[in-house]
Amino acid sequence: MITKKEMQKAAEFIRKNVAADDFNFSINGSEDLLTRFAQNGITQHISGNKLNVNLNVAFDNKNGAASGNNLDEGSLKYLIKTAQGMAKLNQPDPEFVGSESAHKLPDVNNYAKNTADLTVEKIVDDILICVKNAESKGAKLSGISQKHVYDTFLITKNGFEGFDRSTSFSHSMTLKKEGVETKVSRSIKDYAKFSMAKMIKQLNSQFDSLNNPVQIKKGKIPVILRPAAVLNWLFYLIWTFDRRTADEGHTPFTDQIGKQFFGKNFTFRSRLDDPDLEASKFLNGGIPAENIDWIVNGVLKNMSATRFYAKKNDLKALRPYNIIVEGGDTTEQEMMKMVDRGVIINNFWYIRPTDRKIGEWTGLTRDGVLYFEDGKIQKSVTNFRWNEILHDATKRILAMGPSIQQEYYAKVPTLLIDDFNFVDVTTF
Amino acid sequence: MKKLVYDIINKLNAQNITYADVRFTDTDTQQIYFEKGKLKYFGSDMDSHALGIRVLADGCWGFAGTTILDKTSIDKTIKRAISNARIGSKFRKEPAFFKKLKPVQDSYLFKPIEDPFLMDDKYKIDFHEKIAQKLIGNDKIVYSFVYSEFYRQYKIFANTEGTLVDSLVYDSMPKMYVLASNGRESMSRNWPGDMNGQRGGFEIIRNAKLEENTDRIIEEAIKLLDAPRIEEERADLIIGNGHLALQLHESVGHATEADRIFGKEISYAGKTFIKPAMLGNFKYGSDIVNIYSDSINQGGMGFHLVDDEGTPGGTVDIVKNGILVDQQTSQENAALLGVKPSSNMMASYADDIPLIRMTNFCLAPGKGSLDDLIKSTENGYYIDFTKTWSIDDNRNNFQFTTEIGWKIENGELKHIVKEPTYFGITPEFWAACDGICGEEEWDFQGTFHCGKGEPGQAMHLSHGVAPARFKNIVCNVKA
Repeated sequence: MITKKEMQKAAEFIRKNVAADDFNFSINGSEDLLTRFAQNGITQHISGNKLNVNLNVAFDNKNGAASGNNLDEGSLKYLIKTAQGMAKLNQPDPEFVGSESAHKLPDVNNYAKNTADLTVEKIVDDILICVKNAESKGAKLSGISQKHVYDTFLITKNGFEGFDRSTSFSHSMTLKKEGVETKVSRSIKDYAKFSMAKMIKQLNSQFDSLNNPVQIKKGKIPVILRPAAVLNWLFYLIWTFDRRTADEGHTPFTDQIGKQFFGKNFTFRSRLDDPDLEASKFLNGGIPAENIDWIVNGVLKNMSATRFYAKKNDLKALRPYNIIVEGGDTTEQEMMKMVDRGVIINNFWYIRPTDRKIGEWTGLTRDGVLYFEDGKIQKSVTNFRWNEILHDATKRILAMGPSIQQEYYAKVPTLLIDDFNFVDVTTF
Repeated sequence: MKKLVYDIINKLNAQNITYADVRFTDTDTQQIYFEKGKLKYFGSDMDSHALGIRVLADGCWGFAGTTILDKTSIDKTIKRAISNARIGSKFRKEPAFFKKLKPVQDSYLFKPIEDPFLMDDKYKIDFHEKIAQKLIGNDKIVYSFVYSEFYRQYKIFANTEGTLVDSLVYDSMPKMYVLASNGRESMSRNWPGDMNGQRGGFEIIRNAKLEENTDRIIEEAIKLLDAPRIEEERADLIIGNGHLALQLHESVGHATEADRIFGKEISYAGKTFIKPAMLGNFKYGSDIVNIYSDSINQGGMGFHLVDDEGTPGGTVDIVKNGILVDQQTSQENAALLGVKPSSNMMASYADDIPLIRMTNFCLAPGKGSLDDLIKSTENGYYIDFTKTWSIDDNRNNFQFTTEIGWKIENGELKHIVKEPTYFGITPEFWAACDGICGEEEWDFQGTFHCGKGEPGQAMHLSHGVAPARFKNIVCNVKA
């Protein structure tokens, strides 16, 4: 992996040699260990380093950009020449904003030595435990285990300099036996806090509750969305969570800032001080990250904004750098008793917009669906296709479980939502 | 660079391994992006080098890649690739399948008509600005962009069996888009479609006739605001090439990648409803449906001399007269299925592992023109220009929406309809295909962005298609 010293040396070369009025120079480097397994055996070990070098320059308000993956002087000279050549040819950008100056950055630790030091041998040992579990059930296991160390380095003409090193460990596995198939996945910043035993327990619990699925009728049915499904759903909500597109009338969030647009028990924040979650030190070309409330008790408080749009409208140029959805204290057992019947969803798949203005999305369920009635799980059912207006669905939240860590950047609860709109059923 | 690759092969030959291959890629890209009439982004990614080493040792594959090409990094990468294989072998129950292939020594250097990387940058900017300016000015058009991307990749593949192949390819991708709004809803139109990447240089951008179609997409986007939606629950659909390429890609292309059968991509990209026993007997479509994987047609972005494990390019029937006959395979998965490898192992860059990927994945042409097909349709819709799509992880249940459709009545195109949405189950849908246009309508569509793998890779690939008709398809179910 490139050292911070090597990054600073390249930065010094850029400072000395860029003739443009302004610039941003960033280096992103990563080191990965990745093991893929399928059919109860390891299929591939992959390791590697990646490096991306990006230079954005401006003459007055005319921009140019170039990128590459080399830090030697010859490559940096070529980068400067290309970016500056492009900027000179470019037209003035009416939305140009000068680069960030020096800022005090928040004290955030995204690095865990336990994760960085993780060896391929240890990863293999973990996988072997999972495979033995699968074999004990006469099932087949497939998945991936990965260690990721990632560096972000940014300097600007106006004096900003920021560096962050982050780590993550992720593990996902799918257990399959004949018509029964389910998956669990988890990622974490600090491997020392990762419990494979807990993950296997969750996998087994999901697997054991499933049997050969039967079809039930489509329609509006209460759902218990487990955390993986909730997070998958939130990604798509966040995807359209841009202030400018809302103000310009292209999304359902137009004119909704400060209003009760979501369900009253729905709160979504990004936090720097959660010890378990990764939090960017800086965003958007050098803006220091800060604690921010996006939705509080259903009221839309803030949305993502670019530096230009934020400056023009006196907003914060932030984006959700981590995801914390507040939970409640209802257990899944209690949720099943709160409605006559419903389905438990482990995860969603292939969510796509069908109407961006209304905020309607389509998607499918995956990793096993359970039907419950009279407060008890009755049977496994085949997957559904759904069409839903996602923000409207938050108004139908009947109960929430505790918010738990699902990924190294997210904590979300299990949700009980009434009348989820299933429009089709599958045969598997 | 060939010397560097040779040296690595020699170092690998000195190790106690069964086989190794080395890939090197040098990739350049350039993007020009005008938004609402203004040049928003003009940038290049230049000379990005990557090296990947794949080793078979003690019955297991190991891989290591790097973008740092100094001696220390390369030696470390060799060592890691070998140790990755050896560690994995301790936990492998059956040794990985490997069959020696006849060595290939060849070179393919594609020459575009107009090399976008040698052209005057100002000319390219002015070319796009003229189009960008034509997309603005109408007060109902609230957003627009015109975008082109150019790609050039030089690749060397060598293995310890004596194969050494190098290739240089150019791909280009144009797109323009407008969004019309009446304050209540927004309707989009794009050109030339989502599957808009092609093998070639700036001539691809010219051939897309962007400027000639600006008025058309503006007019259609505005008309769509007041257009009706499809009201029928079932309808006959003729699908145009741009969208049919995506339909083929999602419901046949991904479904017939053999690694999915064996659960090797199950955790992320998903699986397939296909089982090995279906080969040779499963009715995938109607008798007129013939689908093949073709890596030797130089017109498509999937052309190669050898794939990324050294299997020479070729053509393999996947669906023959409606029956599923084969799969897209690697050497290892082909052996598991008892078929010949189809030359479909590809990686985006040298430091990515090869995966089973579509190359030129094609629907064979039938007979007649699009006009003929429309004339023979009593009541239905002609739809094209993808808006959104979603398919389950078995590649079976799907819901697709296009930007626009045209009502067909008694063999004639009538009024437009907004956002036609249709549902289907893959084999039922292809079984409902009762007409495919002929060679005169057949062309390559393509994408730069086919995602697969962990970590993710985006692949350039093409689909040869001609418009086709599907009978009695379920349409338009809204929330």
